[in-house]
Amino acid sequence: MHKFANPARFMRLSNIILPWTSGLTIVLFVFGLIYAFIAPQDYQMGNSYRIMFIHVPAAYMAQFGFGLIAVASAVGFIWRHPLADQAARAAAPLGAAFTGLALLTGSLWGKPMWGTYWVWDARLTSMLILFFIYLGYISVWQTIENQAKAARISAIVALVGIVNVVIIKFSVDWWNTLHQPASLIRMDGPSLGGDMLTALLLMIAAFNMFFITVVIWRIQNLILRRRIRALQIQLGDMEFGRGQT
Amino acid sequence: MITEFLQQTLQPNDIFILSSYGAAVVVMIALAAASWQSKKHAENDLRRLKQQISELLEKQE
Repeated sequence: MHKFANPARFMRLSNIILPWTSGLTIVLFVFGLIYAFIAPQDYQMGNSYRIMFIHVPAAYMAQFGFGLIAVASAVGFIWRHPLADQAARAAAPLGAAFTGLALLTGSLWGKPMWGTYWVWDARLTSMLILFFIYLGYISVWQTIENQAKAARISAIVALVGIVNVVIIKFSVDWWNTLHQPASLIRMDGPSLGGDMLTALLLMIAAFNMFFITVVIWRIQNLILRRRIRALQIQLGDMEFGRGQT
Repeated sequence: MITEFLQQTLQPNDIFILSSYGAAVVVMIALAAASWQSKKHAENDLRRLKQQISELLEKQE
């Protein structure tokens, strides 16, 4: 694993992967959106259920993002993997944005279905808590100047915060909620079928590919910023040395 | 005229569908553009710094 911890190797490898992931993102979105609009109307919800093709992938990415942060933080915390902390840091704004999008699209779906934009339901509240955990995680990185210290504290936030992702997943089973139960990952298989399921799976794959592409850009950016800081110090030393001679 | 057209073509709940898809487009374009731009910025800064260092090294020699 440490073979891939080398930032130079990561830059080389990611530059090969990026054209494929970005191309695949576009293709998956095109097909996903086509299926999202040709899928038949729901007999109860009419066309409003089509919000699901944005809401469900956004909610998945919100949880996937935090899962990724927790795993990367644990790796960074235990093995001092140089890229793991950067990967966790890079994923946080994306996860926060997808959590915000899931909350927003959930509200927009709730209004025509439940007659209200918001209820203090277990699923909605735990998602809101996830959004605040993301903000807390990002602010740790923003406010602590010492990067090693920021990595350690943010890793603790991530490892404690992951409990909330488990709560989100099982909130619809543990409590009586207005939110519908899981329709995709279920013991007895998905409750959707045909074009609806195809559209949803394509959109989830598209969101995933988008996440991977943008997170790679963000990790590359963080690696480049570290190099810039190192070179600025080198340049400063050289100019100082020149001034003395 | 546009309002009339929208009233004729859109169902009352379609505004919620359009807003959801619109929000997703805005959020994803903003994320991609910001990440891409800051990466390009960093690449330019790095190139400029490397050039400055090599110029300084040449002068010192």
